[in-house]
Amino acid sequence: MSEQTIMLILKIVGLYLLAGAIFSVIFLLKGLEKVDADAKGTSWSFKLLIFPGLCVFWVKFLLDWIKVKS
Amino acid sequence: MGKDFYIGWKDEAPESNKKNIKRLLITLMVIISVIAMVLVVFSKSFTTHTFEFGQEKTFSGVLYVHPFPVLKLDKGQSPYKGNDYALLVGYGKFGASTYLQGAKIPKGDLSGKRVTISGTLIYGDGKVLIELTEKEKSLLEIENTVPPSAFSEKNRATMNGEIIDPKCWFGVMKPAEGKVHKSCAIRCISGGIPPVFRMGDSGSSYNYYVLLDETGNLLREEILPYVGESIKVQGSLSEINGWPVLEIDPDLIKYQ
Amino acid sequence: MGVEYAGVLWNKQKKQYDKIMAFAILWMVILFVVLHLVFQPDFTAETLIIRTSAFVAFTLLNFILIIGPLARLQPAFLPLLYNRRHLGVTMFFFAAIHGIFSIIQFHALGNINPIVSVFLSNTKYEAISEFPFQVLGFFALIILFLMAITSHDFWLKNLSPKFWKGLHMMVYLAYTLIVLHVATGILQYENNLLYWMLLIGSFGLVAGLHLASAWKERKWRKTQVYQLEKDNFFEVATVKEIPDNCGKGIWIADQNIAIFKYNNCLSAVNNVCRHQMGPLAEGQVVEGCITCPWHGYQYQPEDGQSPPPFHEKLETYQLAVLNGKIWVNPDPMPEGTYVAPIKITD
Repeated sequence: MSEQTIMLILKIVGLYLLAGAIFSVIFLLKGLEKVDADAKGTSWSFKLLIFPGLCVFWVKFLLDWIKVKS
Repeated sequence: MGKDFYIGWKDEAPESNKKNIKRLLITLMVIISVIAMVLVVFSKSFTTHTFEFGQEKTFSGVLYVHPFPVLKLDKGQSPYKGNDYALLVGYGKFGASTYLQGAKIPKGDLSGKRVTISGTLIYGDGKVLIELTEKEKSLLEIENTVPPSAFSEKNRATMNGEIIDPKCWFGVMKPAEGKVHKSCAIRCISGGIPPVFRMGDSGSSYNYYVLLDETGNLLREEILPYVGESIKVQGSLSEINGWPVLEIDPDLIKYQ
Repeated sequence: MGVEYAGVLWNKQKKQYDKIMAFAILWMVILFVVLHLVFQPDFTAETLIIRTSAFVAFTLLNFILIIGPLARLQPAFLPLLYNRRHLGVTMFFFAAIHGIFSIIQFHALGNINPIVSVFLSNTKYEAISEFPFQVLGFFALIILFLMAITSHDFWLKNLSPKFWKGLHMMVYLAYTLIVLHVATGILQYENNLLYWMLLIGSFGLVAGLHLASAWKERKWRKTQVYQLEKDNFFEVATVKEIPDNCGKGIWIADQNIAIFKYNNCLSAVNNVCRHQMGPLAEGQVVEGCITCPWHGYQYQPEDGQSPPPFHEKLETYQLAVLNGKIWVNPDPMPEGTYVAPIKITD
């Protein structure tokens, strides 16, 4: 592995997480309750707690959200 | 109801659970405390080398740039009597050369000039280094006097030891040798800090040699695979600007 | 789960658990620092932080890993399991301090990106003792990170229990990586035999307890041979051997079944808790509900459903009693199916 390859991987991972962070903020405000009914009216501390996980597993929640909408 | 049954969300745990867990936790804490003791007491002692972190000072003396930057300190500034030759290193994991070249003060060839710099002292085992903490701004003043650079006779020698990066070894990090520090030493040397060969296996005092190639230039990338390991080197020994140097052919380095 | 999520569903036991945990960790940190001040006074602050966090994290990880088999072998230790999650997340914080400080100390402020430096400074990937050990720690930390950020029942539900359990089983991979990280790292420098004995000893303890509990399970399964069969019902136990409000686990035709005796009745449900696969038969019937010994999840014995507002469901099984013997039909009924409890007549 060269320096360029590793930098490329780091950039891709970074972009993925950044996209995840942006998605997660929107999702926590608008989508969470639709995807998981148990999350209705949950506290901001709970939302903060699941935020890092959402940044990583956001694609799954995006798909769930689309499914619920259609 | 059968035997005692623990349910986490109830207020109280059964007495039998409490008793057993208390016993287990106390036993474990005693064992862990003994282990902590063993870990600390039997680990290798740290060196007494010093990095005066956060205590920047002003130093004046005569600057030598080639083959590695050394400041011959004016009397009274070195922490060791009889050794006024301070090796200059950069901030972080960088050598000092690029800072000296990039300094804003008007200059030609800096070598042999009398300068004033600001920096942080690193010293241990009789050797002195100065970190140019302020990078390019470390060079404060230049005067034109040209004392000769000191070179000595060369002798052939073969010796065993380890390549270290002098900035970390002489005080910035502890431990700064062997496997745990290997990556860091590789980064430092790759960043331009002069590689130093530390002769000997163990002890509190060693002999040190700055490693040059056979044309007298500082070694860098060629020796990275050997950093932090026990090796045997051969080459010619001399002294440049107050520092013992060893000129070697890096292809002839052998692992021990 | 069926009630709202909260950051932590605090209760008295969890608070006590966390208090003891905080005290133990504080003790370890203070002890380690004081020992350095006394025996190794020439330390640098960075090294002290790196070593103390490593000591705390590795000790906690070993402890976390022995809780599972310890509770399987001796149910008295079940309370340790109840709030293990907080222990895990705390362990990750110390591991993260260790990792981040090490990357800053050894790789930052250099001529390449610090993360790249982790992989490319020492490139002796073909060697054993010179192997770039920091890479091993790096990957272990990523696994611990993924586990820490999914340490909430929200994730258990939304990632599916199977995926979640799989992700959290990777702790064993992380542990292996960390043991190798220590063996190819600090133990290549601090080569005192005592350190090797401690590392091998802790690994042996974790592995040994896991083997012992697996062996107990295997031995139990071997006793599960039932041949008396009539109309697909198998004779599996006597009424007398099950104490009131307790269960008995049965392994038959690839079904893991828990039979409970309560209120002079018998019911059978699947033995695997829907929360984290706890062994329900080792629980008890409390206030009319089967209660899991791990985290206290509850199910109604007659239909395998969690009482409202929860909505977990277990498979149920048909039972029969004849001359004080219990017979079970190992064909599961769909999750949550009502099966009339069998009255014990004699």
